[in-house]
Amino acid sequence: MIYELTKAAHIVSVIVFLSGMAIVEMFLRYPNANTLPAIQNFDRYVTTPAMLLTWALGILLGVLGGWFEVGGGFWFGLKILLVLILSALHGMITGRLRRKVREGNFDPDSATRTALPIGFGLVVVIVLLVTTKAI
Amino acid sequence: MVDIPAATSILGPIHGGMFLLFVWIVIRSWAEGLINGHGAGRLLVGSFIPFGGFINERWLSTQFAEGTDR
Repeated sequence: MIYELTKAAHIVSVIVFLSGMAIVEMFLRYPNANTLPAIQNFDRYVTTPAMLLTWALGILLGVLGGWFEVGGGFWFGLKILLVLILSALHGMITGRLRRKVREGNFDPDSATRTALPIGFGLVVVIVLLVTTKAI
Repeated sequence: MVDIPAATSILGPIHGGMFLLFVWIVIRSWAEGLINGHGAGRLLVGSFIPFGGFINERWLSTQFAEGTDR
């Protein structure tokens, strides 16, 4: 029962985390000085804590489910790698957001144009790995 | 750890989580422009070297005091 509850909380955290990432990515493509404080606060107080909670609950699930043990499954190691890349993507867009605030620059950020499709692609592969555990 | 398996199972995930947080902050600082690519690489490589963190901590203090790595 603890495992199922942890898994449910993990999924909710992931949904909040990914929603927050999508919001920041869209903001970087279409910046607006009026909405900047709200976006920054949402990222600081909702998205980033959701990411940290996702990590913590994910690690707990790995321990409870025995996935860290030898023979736990290749899918789990691959999932951790993809989650690392997804987290790095979030670190990158959060950094770009903070730079925008510091410099007061409200031009569209072309460097993050591919962040959204890459993020969605990572999520698709991660969900496939977790639901099928095929490898 | 010191013949206490439970210690490893508790401290291992905490250590892993802290390392994740460190990498995330390095990448965020790089994207923000607080450190450059060389600095980010130095911090990440240093995290795999024993006591590398102490050397990088002094380096970071110097960089920010001089404001040269922005």
